[in-house]
Amino acid sequence: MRTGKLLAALFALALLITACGGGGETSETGDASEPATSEPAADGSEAAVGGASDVRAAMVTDVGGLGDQSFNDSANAGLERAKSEMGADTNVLESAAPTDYTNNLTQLAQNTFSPIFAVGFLMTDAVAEVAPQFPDQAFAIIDSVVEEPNVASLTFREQEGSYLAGVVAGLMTQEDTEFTNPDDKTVGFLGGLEGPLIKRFEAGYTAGVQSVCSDCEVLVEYAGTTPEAFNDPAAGQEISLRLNDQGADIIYHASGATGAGLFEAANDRQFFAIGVDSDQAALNPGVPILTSVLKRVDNAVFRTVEAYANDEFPGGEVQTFGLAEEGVDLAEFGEFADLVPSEVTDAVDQARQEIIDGNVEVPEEPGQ
Amino acid sequence: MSDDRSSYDPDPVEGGADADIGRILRQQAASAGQALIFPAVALTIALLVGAVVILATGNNVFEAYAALLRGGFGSRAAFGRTIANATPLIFTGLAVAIPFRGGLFNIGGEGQLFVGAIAGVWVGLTMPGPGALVTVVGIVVAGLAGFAWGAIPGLLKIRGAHEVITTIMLNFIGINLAFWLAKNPLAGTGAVPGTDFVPDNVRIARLGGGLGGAHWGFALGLLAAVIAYILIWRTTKGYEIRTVGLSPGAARYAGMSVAANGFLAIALGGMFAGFGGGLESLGTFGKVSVPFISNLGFNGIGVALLGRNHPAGVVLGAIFFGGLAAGAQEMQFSTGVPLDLADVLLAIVLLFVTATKLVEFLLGRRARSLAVGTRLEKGLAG
Repeated sequence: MRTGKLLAALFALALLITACGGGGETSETGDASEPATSEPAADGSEAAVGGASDVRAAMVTDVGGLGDQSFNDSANAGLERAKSEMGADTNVLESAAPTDYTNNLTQLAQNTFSPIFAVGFLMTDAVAEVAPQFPDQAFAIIDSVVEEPNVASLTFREQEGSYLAGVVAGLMTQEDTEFTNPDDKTVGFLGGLEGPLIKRFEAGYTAGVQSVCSDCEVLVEYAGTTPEAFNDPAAGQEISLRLNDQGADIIYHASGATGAGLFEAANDRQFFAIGVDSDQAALNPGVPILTSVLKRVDNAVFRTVEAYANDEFPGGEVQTFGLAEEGVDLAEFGEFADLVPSEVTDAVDQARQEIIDGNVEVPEEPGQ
Repeated sequence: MSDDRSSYDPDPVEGGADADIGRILRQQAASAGQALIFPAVALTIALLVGAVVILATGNNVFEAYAALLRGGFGSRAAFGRTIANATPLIFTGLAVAIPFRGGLFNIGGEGQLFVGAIAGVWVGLTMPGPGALVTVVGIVVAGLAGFAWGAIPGLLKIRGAHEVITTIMLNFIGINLAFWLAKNPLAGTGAVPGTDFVPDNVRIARLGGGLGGAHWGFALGLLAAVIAYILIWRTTKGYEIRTVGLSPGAARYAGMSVAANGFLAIALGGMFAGFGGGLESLGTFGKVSVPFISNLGFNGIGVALLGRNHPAGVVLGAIFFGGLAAGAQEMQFSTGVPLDLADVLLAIVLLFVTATKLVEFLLGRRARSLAVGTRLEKGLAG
């Protein structure tokens, strides 16, 4: 009977799988006498690319996962760099659900990875739970603070990168280009979730604008007060159009995926947008995106792996990465660089240097 | 077997149960074996398709499947992950299976679970008294909240609104209501948005024994499945619910209230989802964060279909789903296979479990009876 054959085949397959399962973690194939196992010997697991380092660094993504073109990808780039430059053994576990946070962290810790990076503040509780169970291993959390002796908390001074964006906006709004109107010295800020984190972006941006253009007006709007505010392009577009109606010819956003609405509006009305986190001008060719404020999670990750390899792991400390630590920066002017006079780039370079030297302190909260 | 149907569906008439226990046990064993054929075939096909996907990602199929198996069931820690994943799915599976037996399709498990979760945490955070008592009250209140949330589509159904539409819509309301409560009146002080943790003595204890995050909610899940079985197959009310599900016309003719039984079926489903939510918030997480769990309610539909809307099947289905998720984690750890493959496998399994005609084609027409309990058109009668 067909049923019997199918069941037999199923049983055979199950046996094969279990047989291979007993073969240890790294066994390449099963029984050589079994023709079905003759697959191409494509080994997906990462082999360390030489190097003398014996660091085993790993990371857990939040539910955004790899491919988010944002901090998960950026953190992974830092890990990749540690792999190629230091020969570190690396592993990345993605999380499909919040339950996976503790599972993934535990799995990596049990396999003696250290340091283990938890990418994103959503994993704060999970790190606080898992790290004390593995006191001899190092953990790091990005964008949050966990007070455990073996956890390094990696945060960013987003206000410093935003300050540079403000310098650009404050100067460019006075220029006469096809995207800007020199008669109306108004610029805009589109925030995502209204809270302390995005307020830092606003504060730095406003301070940057004021530093080069004391009579410029900065219009500020937020998309909302829930996490959905980071994922609402329709609201982003509506707000951007409204800000543009009120005279803003350059709008900087710190609103995650909501920013796509800003780019849409900037493209329709031909005004300048400033992107955030990654080089969004490069990701959206043709759209008038002047530059982007970069959050270099990769540098933070790489530097932390490096510190670990040198026995300088900042466990129990809160590390803040700003311009000086290459944790934030402004992207190169891309497509629209021709419209940017050299005074503007000079002013940006000067402001960057002053912040690095400590001559300018960028406020963390608006209105300081 | 000539009487597959009746052997699958043990004699519902009172008095028949203790007529010949040995014969019934043999029948049950035979029908259980048969019940497994269908998912087993679906799983085999899914594994074959999955093998193609694994090859396409440049990985070794056997290594990947070995990791999948090892990660789901290979050690105590792995099994702990599996049953921790399975715990809420037993409840959301029952939340679909029970209304299904009453002829209603409950898509609202997600919302019912969220409402239960936030209700449980609310009790856990605010009620004074000894920890164990607070826990029990929290779980009960979570179930009651789910019952109330399930009762809404039940009432609307009596008024003529289709439960598929109303339960889907109530998902959005339930989820956002829970999030609003978690961020406003119950907002906590931690870095992750959401409520505070409930006190340690309120949190549901872990099973221990190297099982990691698995907690006593799993035992409650098994208990819930037994209770659901007794409720639906061993009580008069359950008999009425099943009769309404199979043939509303006949039920009405026999003097049963189609409206009242349908209402009860879907509200009971909501209650189980609510219990599941309470166990997640008071056990697994100890709080409701934003974002909270994802898709447990929707995966419950898959669990119920895989388990053919029978409590025992739901438990097995939940363990299968939970094991696959746990195994996928090991698979992405020790091979380069992306996490998404687990979803692909699940989707294919469900496709074949519900595509009964295809399996009839593979196994022959006599296999049709094996499909009982998954055929939507039967459950949606009326």
